[in-house]
Formats: sequence, structure tokens, C-alpha cells
Amino acid sequence: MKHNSISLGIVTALAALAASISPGHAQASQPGWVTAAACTPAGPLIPTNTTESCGSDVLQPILSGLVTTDAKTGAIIEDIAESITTTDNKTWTIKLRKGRKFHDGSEVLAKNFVDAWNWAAYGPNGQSNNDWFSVVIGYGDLNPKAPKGEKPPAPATNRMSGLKVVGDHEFQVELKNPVPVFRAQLSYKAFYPMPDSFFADPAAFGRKPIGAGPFQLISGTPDSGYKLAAFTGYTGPAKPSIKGIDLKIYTSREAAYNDLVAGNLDLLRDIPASKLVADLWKRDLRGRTVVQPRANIQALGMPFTDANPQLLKPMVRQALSMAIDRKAIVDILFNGIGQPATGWVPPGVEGYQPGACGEYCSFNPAKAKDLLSKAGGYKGEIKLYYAGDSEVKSAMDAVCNSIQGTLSITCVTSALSDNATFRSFTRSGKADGPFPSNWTMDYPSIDNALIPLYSKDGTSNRGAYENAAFDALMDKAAKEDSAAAIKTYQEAERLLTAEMPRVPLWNPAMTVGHSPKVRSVTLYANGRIDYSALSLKD
Amino acid sequence: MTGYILRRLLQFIPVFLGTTFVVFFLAWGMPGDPLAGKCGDRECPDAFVAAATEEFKLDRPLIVRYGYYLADLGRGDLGRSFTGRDVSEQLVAAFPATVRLALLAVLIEVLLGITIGVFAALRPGKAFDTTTMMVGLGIIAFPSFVIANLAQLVFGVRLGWFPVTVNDPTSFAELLLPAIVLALAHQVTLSRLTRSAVIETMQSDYIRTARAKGLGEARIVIVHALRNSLIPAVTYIGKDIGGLLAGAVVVEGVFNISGVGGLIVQSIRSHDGITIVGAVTVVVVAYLFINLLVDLSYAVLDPRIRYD
Repeated sequence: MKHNSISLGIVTALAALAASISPGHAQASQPGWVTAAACTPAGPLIPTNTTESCGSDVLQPILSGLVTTDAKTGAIIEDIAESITTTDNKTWTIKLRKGRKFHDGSEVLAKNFVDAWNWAAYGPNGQSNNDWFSVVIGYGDLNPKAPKGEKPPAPATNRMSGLKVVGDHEFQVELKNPVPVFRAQLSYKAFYPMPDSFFADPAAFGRKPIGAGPFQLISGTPDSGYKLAAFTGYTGPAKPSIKGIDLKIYTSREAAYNDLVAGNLDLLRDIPASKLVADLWKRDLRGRTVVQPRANIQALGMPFTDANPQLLKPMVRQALSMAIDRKAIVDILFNGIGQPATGWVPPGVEGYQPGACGEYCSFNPAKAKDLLSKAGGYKGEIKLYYAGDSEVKSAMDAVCNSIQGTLSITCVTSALSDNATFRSFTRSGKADGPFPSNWTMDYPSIDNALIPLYSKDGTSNRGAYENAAFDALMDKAAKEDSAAAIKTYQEAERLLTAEMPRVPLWNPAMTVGHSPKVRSVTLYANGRIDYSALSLKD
Repeated sequence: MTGYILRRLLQFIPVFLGTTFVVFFLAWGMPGDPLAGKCGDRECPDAFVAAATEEFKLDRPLIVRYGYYLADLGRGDLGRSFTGRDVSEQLVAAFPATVRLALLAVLIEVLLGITIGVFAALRPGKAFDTTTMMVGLGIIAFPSFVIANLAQLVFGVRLGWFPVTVNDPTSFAELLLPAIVLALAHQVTLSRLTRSAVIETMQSDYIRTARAKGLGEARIVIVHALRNSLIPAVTYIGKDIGGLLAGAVVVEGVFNISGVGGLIVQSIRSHDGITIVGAVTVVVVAYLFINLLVDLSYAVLDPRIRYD
């Protein structure tokens, strides 16, 4: 009998289990809503601490800043700001439109910007977008330098002296150095306003962010997805025609693609590479596809240490660059999606000039061989490092083959186990070969593709590149008005051909597939969908 | 019996400590700066690095950090991942899907495997036995991602009989296809195990006695033979549940199930040591419990086995 009672127990447990597997909550999407594929945000949804793309995808429709980019023309236009003015590129007066509201109903005031910037710049808050504010006077007080080998001391203040609230709808920013393109920088999400409730409980905000954008986060979690409804109180320039966005979380783009083909999904960005082969996706989706350039450049980073003295010679780098058949790689490997890079600034960005790299980024085997022999040849092999968990392997193999085929230098690719290992290695100065180095524009202006990467104090100058003439042009541009500054930045970009600190490879394009319900899709320069411009068939 | 269970539970403690220790050192011992690449294409600002170093005590020796980790664990705090999410929250989000999928898959596996095994054993070497064996060999010859992708394409996308992917929170209908895919491969081994055990039992003396008593064949097979043949099968099922809990990474990936396997793989890739240790530890504890249950079930199935 004892045994029977145990087996009875097992049966009961199984029955309870069967009951716990709840029946499907299959939901037909509501009229006016679109279902879009998303991925799990890595961390709390705080704009000043979100630098990865999954979280940024969720935040984009929710937030509004002082300025925004027009998805159609790429121009920077005023959003919450009524005007942004300066006479010397150092003191900026910002006036706000009246009546713009956060999703909690409170009005967006000057203090919401000033408080948000101070909070993000405050060192102990450890925000990953902290250094965006380093140009503001008083940033140093909030981020005291640590004595060698010790922890940084606590800051004496939590307000930057360069920020002044003038009135409810006006504030003033004083910068340490002139920044001609400060207005364009303001389109980056680090500069967005935060409602008063954020400062009381940042963790709650991270779960359910409150912005001033066209869409309002209604509900959701990082694992189950988010529901964003059009914000009825929105009075800005990007009023949406759809009623809401249902962001569904996918762990793989292949799974999302299958859902799109089966009709369970309306929008999928970045179609998996396996579906681009021979235009499979265009047949699967019956032409409901969009390809648009995006503000991104993929390049080969070069070591700037004596780990490999041969690669320090400019002529060797130029020869390598001219030995790469970019067009063939884009056409064959990427099925023609994207374009060979002709400079260091991606297209669609203010200040973009086609052909900045000139002949040095075109495929010219004869000249490449000639340059290499002038440089005294190359001994040994070239090792091309990449992160083994990224998708660049086939592209790097193709680059290597191209170099080897043209210059008869043995070129091998070497996979480092993962991204963290790869990043540590390439910035350690021990790398003795080139490595893939991508740059996604934070805001669509030429300076963002140059200053962080090639200036002496550039925040992401991983190769430790230094060029006095280039830095002099950066200083010159700083004192000019924005139109003249952009010309100076362009001149500086052309200067990079002499030393090739990075070898431009290609500018990838964004691919989007959509359901029959969607009439038209517009993308921002950063490749994200402009949900405000999205229109549906009735 | 109670004494035995208590002893087994006490044995959990050293195993638990050992696992957390080994996993902790492996996870944090991975080469590369765990903070590298945490700020997109940009390099991380100093303030971010300083705050993260302080929070995760990255500047302290590993053994000290392990001490802190155990102290937190003692308070029931699994810690916070690099990304700012609580590990417990991530586990609570990932486990239900995995547990449901595992149990559903095992249920299907048991139904299929034991039925096929018993019928094959009744007429060994005959048509049913050889057919199921050949089909079974075919199934295990294919890697699971081939079967999973094929099943998704045919039954999900083309025929529309099953949902293509699984959403969170998961539903029974969505999990059915992935569970069948998982069960298909596992039932092959289970049916072969059951088959040989039943064949052996059917030749024993007490079955002859039962026949001599005039019992019906069905009762002989189900009540007398099957129960005594279940020990190898139950051992295998226990191992299976444990394995599925650790995550059927491939199948979960194909069907978009955000489960434990995916969580562990993701955190290894992003060097998120705290999440790795938390997830692996919970899986290990679950495995230990299942093993204990399997051992206890032996006593139920075979009265000769006693624990005291």
C-alpha cells in the first residue's frame, strides 16, 4: 500500500505539472499596432547608461531630446528645443518649447535637462555615458582624479558650474573648449531630459522608463517584451500615425525571420546573413524588403606600437588597403548589401565627402605591389585578429585572401575567444596585426567619426594614433562656426590617407523585412526604425 | 528512509560549495577584461570603470571576492549581474520556460519510449522491433538543430500546425513542437533500454509462474514485468531531466525559448561571472535533487532495495 501511495503522489505531481502549463494566450495584434522584433535589453533602461543596441532599440521611440534627426533628410532639427544659439561655440543658450510633456504628465522644463546632465556626469553614479559631459565646465569637480592606485575621492559637489537654469524654459551651457557641432551632439540620448521621478528612484525608471517621446511604455519586462502605446499628450514634430508598438523579444534573428515569413511579425531589422544569400529573403517576403545605408563604418584597425614595426610604415598600410578588393567582398559575401568605403566617415552623415580616401581605398593590385616594394617589402606573415564570437570571420577571411592574392604575403586570421578578450588584446598594444574595428555614429555629424578615434586624446583611439597636423585642424575647427568647422574636419579626414591609422573597408546597410500590413518604413541614419513615420495599410 | 534522505541532503553542502568554488574561479578566470566592450564601440569612461570595479570588487583577489559571494549567498542574495539586473530575477525569468519544456519533453519521451520498448520486447527481432530500431537510428543520426529547424520550417512556417516560435510567458501549445523534437531523440535510447530490460524479465521464473497461474498476458507484462524492468529506464529519465534543465541550448535557440541554457551561454560570452555562477549553481542543485528522487524511486520499484 505504501508504494501505491507514492505512485499516487507521482501521478498527482504530474497532473499539477500539466495544469501549470497554461494554455496559449495567443493574441491577435490590435488594430493600428505593429509587432516588431527586439532583443533583451542587457540592463536597466536608463538612457545615460545604455550603450548596447537592444536597450537603445527600446528607448528610441520613448525618448525625445533637444534636437532630433529628420529620418528622411538626415538633417538635425529642433525637437524640444525652440532655439539653440551661441556666438563663440562655448556659451550656448537653449530655449525650450512650452507645453512639451513627459509621459507622467509633468512638463519638460529646463531643470529636467540640467538635473539629468548633472546626474549623468556625477562620477560615483558610474554612467557609461559619463564622458559626454567632459566638455562642460565643472565636469572635473564631479569626477575628481584618483591618486595613483587608489579609489577616486568623493566629489565635493554634484552640480556642474557650467550649467545654469535661466528660467523654466531656458538654460545656459558653458563649455571648456569651443565645440562647433554641440547642437548635433545634443541629438545623442545622453543629453535627454529626465522627469523629476527619475531622481527619486532610478531603479524604478530603469524598469519602466518615462520619456517625452512619441511613444509611452505601457508594460513589459526585458524577457517578455514591451508594449509601447502612442503618447496622447505628444505635441512634438514626430507625431505617429500608428497606435502602438508591440516589441517581441527574440533570442535569435533566425527565429524572428521565421515568424516574419509565417506572418506572426510585422517588422524585423537586420535580416540574418543566411537569408540574404541569392536574395532568398526577397522571395520569401515577396519584395516586402527595405535596404538603407546606415551610419556605420567597418575598418581594419592598425597597431600603433612597435609590436610589428613593419606595419608602422605608411606605405605598407597603403599597399594593404589597395590590395583589398572591397567591391568583390561586398558583392559576393554581403550579396551587394552595403557599399565599399571611400573614406573614414559613413555616408548619410553631415560632412560626408565621397572619396576622401582617394585612390588608397580603391582596389589597384599594380600600385599596391609597387608601394610594397618601395616600402622594402614585407617579411613574415600578417596576422589578422578578430573576436571568435562575432560574425566577422568570413569577411576577415576574405580580406586576408584578397591581401594574400594581391601582395603574395601570407595572411592568416586568428580568432580570439570572445569580444572581451579581443578588446583587451587590441588595446593592450600587444597586437602585432590588424583587427576589425567598427564605428557606429552616436550622432550624425563628421566630427563624431574623427575626434574620438584619431585625435590625440580621443576617447576611443585604441591604436593610440597621434598626428600633430590632424590635432591642429581639430583645434582650428573648434573656433569656427559649424559650417566652416565641417570644412576643416573634411580637410582633416583627407589628411588620414598619409598614415592610414585605420583602413576603411565598407559601410554596411540596414536590411528590414516587413509584413503586408506595413505600407512604408523609414529608417534613421543609425539604422533604427522611425516609428513615427511608419504607415500601415487600413 | 528519513535518515538516508537527511544524509543525502547533508552531502549536498560540500558538493554545493565545491561547485560554486570551481565555477566562480573558472568564470572569473576567463582571459580578457570583463569590462571591455561594455560600452558599445566606444571605450568605457573612467567613472564607469571605477564604479563597476568598486561594485564588483574587481580589484580584490578572487578568493576574497568568493568570500563576499558566499556571504551574500548566505543571505539569499545571488548578486547582481554586470548589466545591473539581479541574478535571481534573471533566473526566475529563465527557469519556468526551461522546466516546462523539460517536463513536457520527458513526458512525451516516457510515453513514446516505454510503449515502443515494451512492444518491441514482446516480439524481439520481428517487424515492429526492427522498424523502430532503424527509425530510431535515423533520428539520432541527425543533429538536433537539423531536426529542430526542419520541424520549425515544415510544421510551423509552411503547414502552420504549430506556433513558429515561443514567447514569454510560454504556453503549452507553443512548447509542444520543441518538446516533441527533444523527446524524439531521447526516446530512442529509452525504448532500447526498456526493450532489453523487459526481454530479460520476461524470461525469469516468476513470469512463468504468473503464466502458470493463468494470468492474462496484459497483466503479466504491465504489472509484473514492466515494473521490474523500469530501474534502468528511470535512471536514464533522471539523467535526462537533469540534462534538459541545464538547457537544451540548441533547441531553445531555434524556437526562441529564453531558457537557462541561453542565459548561461549569453553570460559566458559577456563574461558575466556572477550570472554564470548563479545559474550553474541552481542547475547543479536541481540535478542533485533529481538524482536523490531517482535513487528513492529504486526502492519503490524494487522492494529488495532498502535505504536505512
